[in-house]
Amino acid sequence: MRRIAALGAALLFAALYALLASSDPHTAFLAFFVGPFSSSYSIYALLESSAPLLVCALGACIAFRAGAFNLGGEGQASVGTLAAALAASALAGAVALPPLIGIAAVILAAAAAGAGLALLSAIAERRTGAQVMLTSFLLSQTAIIAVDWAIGGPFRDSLSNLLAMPAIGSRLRLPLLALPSPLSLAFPISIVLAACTVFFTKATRMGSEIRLLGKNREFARAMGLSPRLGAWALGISGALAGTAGAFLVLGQSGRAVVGMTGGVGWNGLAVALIAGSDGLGALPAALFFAWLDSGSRQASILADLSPDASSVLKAVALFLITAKIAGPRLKRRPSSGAGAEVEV
Amino acid sequence: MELLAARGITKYFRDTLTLADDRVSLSLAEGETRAVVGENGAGKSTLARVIAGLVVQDSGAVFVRGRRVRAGSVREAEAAGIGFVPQASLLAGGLTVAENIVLGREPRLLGLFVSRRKAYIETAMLIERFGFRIDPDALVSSLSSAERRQADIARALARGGDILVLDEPTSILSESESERLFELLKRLAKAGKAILLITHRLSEVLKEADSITVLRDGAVVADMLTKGADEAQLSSLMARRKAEGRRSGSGPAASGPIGAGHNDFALEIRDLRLAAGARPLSLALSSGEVLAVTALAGNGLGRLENFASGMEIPREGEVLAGGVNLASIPRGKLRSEILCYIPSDREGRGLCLPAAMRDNLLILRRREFLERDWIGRKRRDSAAREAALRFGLAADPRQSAASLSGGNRQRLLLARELDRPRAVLVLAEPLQGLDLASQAETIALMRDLAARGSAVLLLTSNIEEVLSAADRVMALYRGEAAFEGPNEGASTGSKLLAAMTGSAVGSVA
Repeated sequence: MRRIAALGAALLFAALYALLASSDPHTAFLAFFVGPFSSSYSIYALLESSAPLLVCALGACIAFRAGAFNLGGEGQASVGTLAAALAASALAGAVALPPLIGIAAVILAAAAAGAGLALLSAIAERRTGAQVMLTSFLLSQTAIIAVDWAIGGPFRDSLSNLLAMPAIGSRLRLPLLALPSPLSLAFPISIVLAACTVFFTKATRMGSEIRLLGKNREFARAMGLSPRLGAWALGISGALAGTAGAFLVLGQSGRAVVGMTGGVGWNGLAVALIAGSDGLGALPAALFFAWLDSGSRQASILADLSPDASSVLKAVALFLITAKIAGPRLKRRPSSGAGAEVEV
Repeated sequence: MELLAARGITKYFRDTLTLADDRVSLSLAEGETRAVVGENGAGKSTLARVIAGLVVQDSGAVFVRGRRVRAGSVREAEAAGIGFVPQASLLAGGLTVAENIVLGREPRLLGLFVSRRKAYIETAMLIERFGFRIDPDALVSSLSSAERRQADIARALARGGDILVLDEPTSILSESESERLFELLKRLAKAGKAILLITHRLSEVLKEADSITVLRDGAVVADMLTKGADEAQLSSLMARRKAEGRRSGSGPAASGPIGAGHNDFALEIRDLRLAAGARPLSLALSSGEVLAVTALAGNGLGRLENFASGMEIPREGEVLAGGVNLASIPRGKLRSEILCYIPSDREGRGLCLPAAMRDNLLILRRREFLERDWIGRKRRDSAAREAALRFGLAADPRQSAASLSGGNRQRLLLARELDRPRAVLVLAEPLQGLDLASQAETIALMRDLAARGSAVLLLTSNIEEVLSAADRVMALYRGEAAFEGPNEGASTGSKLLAAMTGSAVGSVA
């Protein structure tokens, strides 16, 4: 409820922003709020763009639950794009392979690449005690530079003007579900992954153990929970981010382009925070973010609103929601402490 | 006339691989007081629990007036006239003495309404008849441990009748309180009650019992009249063949634990350095033994806790459980099967405060319970509620551990860790936050687990706790053993105090 109220407040702020920042508030207003739903095409486009975001957010949710601040989603998605593109070109010759299996293999390659990058942080923590929050971020920034170099350098499509790898054959692209819109199989897959995440976190032993690990590490160790539990959570988190990279490559653009992740990892973190690390809440939160993106894009085309509006609005939504979460916690702490003292 | 007879009672505990009782027989006549003596782990408590119907024996049977009592049924045992006074009181603190005594078989008006007045009268009559000194209307939680013991006995009398089985009734009582308790028992014996007294205090036995059964390693080694017996004779009968014999594995299968850990100590610490520059520390615990180590803050007790619990792997020296290096045992297996650990850092390490009580309780049984968060929620809740209730913690298992008071948090810890015997118990400040009665019960429970084959390492800064619970004691000073010896009561206390404050360094006994 609190979250919905906060989202409402963010929308109110969006309206205010459109009013103040645009010389034609009426058009901007309509474009922003109604535009994304004005046609089935734009609705489908919105859904498609929410898929990688949702998958990244699911990864962030699992890492957060384990108390591992995986700030490397962006880099993990990035290595995912490269791995997907390389796997697709490697499989391009295998004509006998059924397309769906080929696609699954490409996605798995991307997931493995993302997981591998995330696991480096887990290994560093295990060996040296380095904080995951730092190593995941630093490794991710490094990986982005390396991936951009690879895509724009050795693997670049020399026939194209883009800083991109060669286009992937249509056989290995994600099937489009509602032509001419860009809606692909990515969206249903992301929904399934969300359901899997909810099941994993709420209905499996490892999910419960990860939750306890995230709440108190020392306790988890004293109770004999597996020391590899945190690494598992990080690995799964990275695999999901890598999957998001594969969605980007196998979807609309059909190739790996330099800088194509475009903040999907960071936005995934924000979505996970808004959702309170709950896989179920991540779906509406991801759709909300996709809507802000789509709305501000439309408003910038139809009116004179800056396309950066979405970044501002996302920041506001995140701020409002995290403030709401922190509020009651700060209030609760002293009172529970006092209660304990009285009762002892 | 023979009132109670136990014939060939045999009980093997699978979880600790201990043969607790091996073909134990004894008999008890009207008006007789028989003591069952033996060292810790000799099988006394198990025998008492079999007779009371709390434990199902593997073979053998209990007879009352020649009639066989069905095994493992408290109800049947009570119907046959056996009243049991366990080491840890079973009374509900929130009820009055009278309510406790009639609990489960309350007198009713018109067969419908519970009659408090009748309960009061019934209890008052019982109390009057045998000269108890307790108020039937007093809340049990307000009673002293001596009064509580009396109420325990009154309850056992009311439920059983002719036969009283008392398991270490004086373990938590002072000397004068014990004397008064024995006066009461004498009156009961005169009234024709048969009394089976489980104890390891030989002075009591020689003074109060008519006959004695001596158990060693689960088997009867002597059955005699008290007349003519003396303490030295009894101790030599009780004394277990020493560690050499057990370590070589030459003893009969009945001696001590069987199986993997047979040839080794349950817990052994070799050459651990607790502080820089300190002499390395070594110690060894057999199963059934309680070793208490005490020290002032900053003298190495915390490090010892970390090493003994496997939370920290030592660079020098090693910690062995049943002869196996702790570091080589997977932690999950270690904690769920071998080691019970109550950390001194209750909030940081012992509990997960934001998590639900039930998750805190069932985490060691997670293979059984944490499998499904959605499915089987009811089963988990009721299992958690039951486990908590056994330790007097009546709370909704779904509420967070953070919502509990300090004492209840401790109960939660105890409920999780002391629910069943395991090979090694490492208990650091296990009584913190508990009221006096619960402290006494916890100590009794600890002794009971030791009696069932656990090796207990008690780490505490409180000398009283050490003296009330331990067989052997040790004091640390600056990371070194400054005193070590058997627990001989008050004199040991002053030695410990001197050692732990550094005024008697070097006097290792």
